[in-house]
Amino acid sequence: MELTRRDFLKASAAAAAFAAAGAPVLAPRIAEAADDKGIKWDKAPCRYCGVGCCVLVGVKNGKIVATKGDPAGPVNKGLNCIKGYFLSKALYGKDRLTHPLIRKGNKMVKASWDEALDLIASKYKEAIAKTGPDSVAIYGSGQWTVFEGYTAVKLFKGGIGTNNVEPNARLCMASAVVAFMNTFGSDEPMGCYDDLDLGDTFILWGANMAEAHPVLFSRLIDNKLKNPKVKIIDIATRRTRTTQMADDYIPMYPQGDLAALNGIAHVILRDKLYDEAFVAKHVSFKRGTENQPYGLKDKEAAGDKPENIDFAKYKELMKPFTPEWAEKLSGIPAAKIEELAKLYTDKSRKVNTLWTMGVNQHVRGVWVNNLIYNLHLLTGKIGKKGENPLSLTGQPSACGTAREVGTFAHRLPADMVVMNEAHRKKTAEIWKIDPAKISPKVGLHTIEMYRAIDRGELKCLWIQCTNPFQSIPNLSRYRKAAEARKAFIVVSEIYPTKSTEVADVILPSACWVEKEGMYGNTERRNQQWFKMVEPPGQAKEDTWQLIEFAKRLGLGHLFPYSQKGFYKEMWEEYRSFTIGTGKDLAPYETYFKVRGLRWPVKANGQETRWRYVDFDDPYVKPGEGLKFYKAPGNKASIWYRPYEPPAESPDKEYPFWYCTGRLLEHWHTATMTGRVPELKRAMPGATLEIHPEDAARLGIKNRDKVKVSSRRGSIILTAEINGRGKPEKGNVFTTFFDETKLINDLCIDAFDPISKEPDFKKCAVKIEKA
Amino acid sequence: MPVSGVVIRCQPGSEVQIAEQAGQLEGVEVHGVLPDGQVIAVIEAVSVNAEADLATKLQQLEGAISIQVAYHNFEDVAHEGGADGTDKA
Ligand code: SF4
Repeated sequence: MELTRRDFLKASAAAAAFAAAGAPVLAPRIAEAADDKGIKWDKAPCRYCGVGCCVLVGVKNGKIVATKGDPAGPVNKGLNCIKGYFLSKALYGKDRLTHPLIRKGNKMVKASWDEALDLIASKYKEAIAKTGPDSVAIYGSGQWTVFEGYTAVKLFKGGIGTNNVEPNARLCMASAVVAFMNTFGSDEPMGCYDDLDLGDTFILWGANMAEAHPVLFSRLIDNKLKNPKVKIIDIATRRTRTTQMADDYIPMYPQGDLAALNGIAHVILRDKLYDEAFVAKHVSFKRGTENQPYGLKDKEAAGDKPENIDFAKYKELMKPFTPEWAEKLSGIPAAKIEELAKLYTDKSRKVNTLWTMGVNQHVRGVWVNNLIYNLHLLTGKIGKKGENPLSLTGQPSACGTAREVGTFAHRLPADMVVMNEAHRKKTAEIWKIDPAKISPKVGLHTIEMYRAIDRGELKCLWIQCTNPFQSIPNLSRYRKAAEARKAFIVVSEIYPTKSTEVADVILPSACWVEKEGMYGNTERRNQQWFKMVEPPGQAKEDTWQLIEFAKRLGLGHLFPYSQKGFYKEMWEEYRSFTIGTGKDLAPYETYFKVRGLRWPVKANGQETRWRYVDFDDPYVKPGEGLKFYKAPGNKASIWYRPYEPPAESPDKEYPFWYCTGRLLEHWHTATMTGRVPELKRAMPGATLEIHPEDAARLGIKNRDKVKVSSRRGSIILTAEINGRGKPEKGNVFTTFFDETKLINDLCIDAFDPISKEPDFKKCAVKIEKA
Repeated sequence: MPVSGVVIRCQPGSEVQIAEQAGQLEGVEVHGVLPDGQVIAVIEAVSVNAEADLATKLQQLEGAISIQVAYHNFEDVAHEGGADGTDKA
């Protein structure tokens, strides 16, 4: 029988699936012969989420023609999630941007790179001359490669002299970052994904892992199917795919996490279930500033002034937070709170807490992060194989770039901050510039950046790799300001988006494997990839765009890298920030072959899976056991953080909680996963999930059109009853990927006073039949 | 036509039924049911969108925990510029 190319491809597909499922011997024999004739394979991290799966990319005749889960990749062991299908589409949409465009009135007209860059440079120069460097800014993302983020930070902080550098990561894990810093003195988790395989108890706070972190959830499920002891507890305001696999689903009121976590800690203290020796050795106690504002007014001042307290004082402060008190505020029965306290302290269990946007996008997000760490620090269930708190991240390099490179308004590389003179000095030394060039003044955080446009204070903004004019809360205020041309806006993009709509200049960018790059995922794993295909038309890398712009500002000397050694030289310079800090990265070439390495990378080139422990972290001497060596006095902080209400709660007029989030098949604003026809298919546009009893009361049937309104705007959505997500009574849920439905118009732009991260999960709306 | 190899992770005990239902979907070929509750299937469809739709359908089968993609080849649509799903289907 003659085998066709299709037979071979199908055999290869089946063989890869058998191998990834752990049964390679069952694979069809012809697959070996097929081996994808003419396809050249190379490794890269997945373009989409913070899980950071290892992917093999197949190229033929200059085009990507195939992708595989990388069998050698420890993150995903040969399997991608459903978004893996869209890797094929990220690059090859028909509407890819292929040449620079400049606004002429209401039209965008084609321009050369020189024209576009000259125009941008002249606008920036003019603003800097007239209103100072703090009147210009750059807004990037956790999808920036390390190189792109580093170029932006060096150019703006070290060259232009402003700290107005922000990533969209401010909208997703700024709260997690602050809590890492104020608890452990260093950003990023102590544990890693191995804990998902080794632990037996997983408590999820407001995290729909099955949809937002699917490959990690699969690892958890694999563990569960092998080990009957494994328990998954899903604490949330909505039933999801995650709930279906959980052993226990505990519904909770929005903002109830603050009360429930305190209630659990209360029981641990009341019944003396804490680990006394651990607490004495590894923990100090603090109280922060309470009753801070929600940032609803422009330029509202806020901050956290910690006060040291002792264990006795902490215990006394925690006395009122009984399970009954927690029940009232969280809706979680007091008995369940007691049960959770027993689970957290069960000596026979390896307990892990997992959380993401439900905790971070929260007006008291830093507090909730702190309260989670409190439980692990009280019980000593931390810094052990298979037993750790793990903050999950949304974007592929939110950790590796936004956090580690420091593309926030207050940060510099490797945990340093602009407010600290010694940090500015060290940075200036590496950058070979005058330390006075780096401003000690914290730049504008994301929401303030867009408000400053509306106030006419920010004159120029360059956006790369993200879509803020769809994704920021209270969107219409900021869209109106941009449409009124209050600032000069540059957008580097690969497709037209809601942000390119308001741009003065649109620059076509290279994407993913059209350039060389490095990403860092949630578990501190840095993954490098090479350029595999050419970008379309005149599209160029974001680093090239920024450096050409720098040259026009007379700042080209900041980037003295040779053409041939560009990435290596920039990497080695960046890496020097990390050496000796406990965040040590490896020489560039080390990353060429491996499927990423988790830092700190040891002198022998080995990675570190668990930080702060003598069995793995090179910064802890043998025999020292656990040592929080980045924290003051080697002690991590337990924080007293009480309950405080959300910025806006349902009332008579707006009786429902409004929560936003993502779906398995789409990623962020869907500029890469939702190339248009998709929206009409299996998963249509954004819907409004509503509880069946609420729907019945309002006379709403499944698929009815409903009008959802908040104090900030309204929108028409299709009601979804008993769909894949089921919100609790009094709650509605929608997704933010659909650019035809700007659901963020309704969201309040209240934010956490410490992290400045907005709360996309809670505001009040009313629902009417449309 | 794009081709992909997927692994369906099933709730214990539901794999046989899932394999049967999956096999009835046009464009899905079941290649094996593993003893640990995984079903191996190959999906073939006229476009990447249609393929992703089929995967979503598999995901919605009663008892299916997750669908994961091991291999995806779209060499013919990539050349027609149709990997974005804008092809006829
Ligand atoms: S889980 Fe995230 S990183 Fe992994 S394949 Fe899916 S989208 Fe990509």
